[in-house]
Amino acid sequence: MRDEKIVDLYWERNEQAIKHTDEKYGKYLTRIAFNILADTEDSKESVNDTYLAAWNSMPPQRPTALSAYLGKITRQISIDIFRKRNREKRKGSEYAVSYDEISEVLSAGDMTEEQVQARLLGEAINRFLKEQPKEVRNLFIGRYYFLDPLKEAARYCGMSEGKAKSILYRTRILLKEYLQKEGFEI
Amino acid sequence: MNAEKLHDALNYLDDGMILETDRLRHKKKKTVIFRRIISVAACICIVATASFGIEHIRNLRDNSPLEENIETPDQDEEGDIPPAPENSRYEDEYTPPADDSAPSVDGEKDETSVSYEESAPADESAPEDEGPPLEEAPPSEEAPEDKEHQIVLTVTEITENGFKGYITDRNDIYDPNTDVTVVYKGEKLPETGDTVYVYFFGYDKTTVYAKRIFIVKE
Repeated sequence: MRDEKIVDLYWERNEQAIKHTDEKYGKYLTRIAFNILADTEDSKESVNDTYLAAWNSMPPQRPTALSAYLGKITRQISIDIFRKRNREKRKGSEYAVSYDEISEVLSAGDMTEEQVQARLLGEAINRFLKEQPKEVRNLFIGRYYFLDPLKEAARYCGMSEGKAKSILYRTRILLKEYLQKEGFEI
Repeated sequence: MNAEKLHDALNYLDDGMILETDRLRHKKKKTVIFRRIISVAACICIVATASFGIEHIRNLRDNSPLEENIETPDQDEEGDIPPAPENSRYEDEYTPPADDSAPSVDGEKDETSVSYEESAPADESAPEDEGPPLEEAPPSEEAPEDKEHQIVLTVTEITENGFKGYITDRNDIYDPNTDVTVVYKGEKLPETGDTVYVYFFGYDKTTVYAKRIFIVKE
């Protein structure tokens, strides 16, 4: 089924939308989640949460690229699960507990501010990547957005693992310089 | 700023860039899978061809009549031709030229050297004077057998058991100009400089065991 039809189903509040989304993008989303979580059960949970988030966000959202839209949701949910899981592991340590408490004070619980900052940072990264050669851009996004293993990212970008590693290293340095120029505190 | 914030920010990447990379991820994967399938198929073909070839060669060797029933007329008469060495080869595929395409036996007509090509079609209507003038004609009842080999050489030396020379034709056994020793116990031997068509039943790297010969006088 075409993406537009699936989005229409969401807008019609038709539950078949989730079925068709799972048929078309289930594996794709599971892979994104697994790259972050490295756990099948957690990945399934992340993908299911993605369907719920999609259901809740459409309407009002009407994404033109459904795969990218769903992928971003899965990625963010998976990262959140990953962070939560790591916090659970650190529970026994008093240092970890105090670290969490201090972090709450520092962030002041202002999620809107954080989101704005993240968006501004994301837009700066967008501008930076658009200036890079296609090969570099694809490698960077494959490695840091899709979180593909270095070996695999190098393979589908048509280069050796060593070359990919070298390109990523140089790109990280360039990105750091670019963000500093843009006024971000690194 | 920490890595977490950077990862969060990456969620604001343009959809176009994400889709571009995603297409590459899938496209290359399919290509690699296809290449792997092709590679595996090619390997299977090579193995199958090699197996068939080995089996075919074994069958040829098993059916080779070399050690069973090859006897030369001269062996019967004098019995002193040494046996073909163990590494002698005998190729079943070889098809000798038809008698009609063999050099002419009329030694009185033309005593110039001739060029002889195995691939020349047998032609019964060809004029007789086109054949090479030969000193020794093969009797018609001694037509070359199916399993016979032929080489053409120029004689450089007459020896006790035959003669020596160098290859002057193109054949599947020796390169041109290769020096070979021909073991031959016929009555008429060639002279130095003669071109000789040698029909033989066995050979190794340097020696040919001739069954009969045609001599073309220089």
